Amino acid sequence: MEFASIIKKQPAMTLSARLWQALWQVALLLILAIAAGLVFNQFGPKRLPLVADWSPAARPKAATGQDMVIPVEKASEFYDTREAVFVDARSADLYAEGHIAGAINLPFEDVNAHIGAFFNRVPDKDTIVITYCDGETCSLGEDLALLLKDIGYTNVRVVINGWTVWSRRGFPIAKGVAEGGP
Amino acid sequence: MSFSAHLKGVGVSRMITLVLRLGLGGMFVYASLHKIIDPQDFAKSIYNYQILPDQLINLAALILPWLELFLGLALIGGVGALGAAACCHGLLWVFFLALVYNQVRGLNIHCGCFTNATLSAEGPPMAWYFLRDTSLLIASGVLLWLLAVRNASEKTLETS
Repeated sequence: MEFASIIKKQPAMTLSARLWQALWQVALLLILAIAAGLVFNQFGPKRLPLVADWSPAARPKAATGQDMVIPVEKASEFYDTREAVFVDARSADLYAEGHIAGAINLPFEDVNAHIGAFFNRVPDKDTIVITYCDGETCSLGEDLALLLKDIGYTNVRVVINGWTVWSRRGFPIAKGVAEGGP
Repeated sequence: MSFSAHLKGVGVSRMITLVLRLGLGGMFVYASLHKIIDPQDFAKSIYNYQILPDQLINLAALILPWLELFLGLALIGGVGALGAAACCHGLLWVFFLALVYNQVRGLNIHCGCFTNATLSAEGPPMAWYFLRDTSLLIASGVLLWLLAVRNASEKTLETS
């Protein structure tokens, strides 16, 4: 049998037919993915609620069962009585541009490199530690707070949108790099 | 075009299709695995992009990795490859546009925070993300064209 006649047995599909074929395949793949995702979540090792509250206050609470968010006014009281250590979770660059006066810089993105120095500066695990980042949606402050809690600090709190709300209220701020680096 | 030259052209086109299918498919499967194992971590990444409403974040984190896995397997296995290639291309456009949108509005996707500072110190540089996403977008576009148009027209030519 000639090669050409073998090929002729496969009917050519028009472009529109191939488009329909692709749409059906996409729909099928989507249905499979939805089913697999929901079933695996139901019976898998790390279950996730289908709908969760992703607000800044709810996230640390969901992770620890404890309300870790503190209003900026309350944080300011702790600042005035020098009861709390403030920790800036942002990068060294942003810290240098402006930060809560006296705050320690512990950039969450590079936390492993700086956590040792933080232990030395804050050896008492019962110290009130208040973390912050900048912006309602910035999660670095909460991430850092959860990490510090995990490694044993018992009184960790977060000020949501900390840098903005603190500086807007005219509370003490400073500029420049951290002493001895972040 | 002589018959042998035509066959050679068909062979090269099929070879490129196969390489793209396996390459993209493998990448999608690889990318899906850690997201399937740790959906919470992936949900956090989606949150950091600040595009989806909160109510859809967890659903996307649960379904998207499985879609990536099935797309990858379909491309590798050659079953439903046309639809999978179209879906991959569409998804990569979404990822690419999300990246561009956040870059334009100055949002750091590593933490979900708006900043004017350089992002180079926090995770891989954005240039790397753009290079990666652009390459994948082009590769998936070529694959889609090969599967939808080129291979179809080859058959049409051959049967005419």
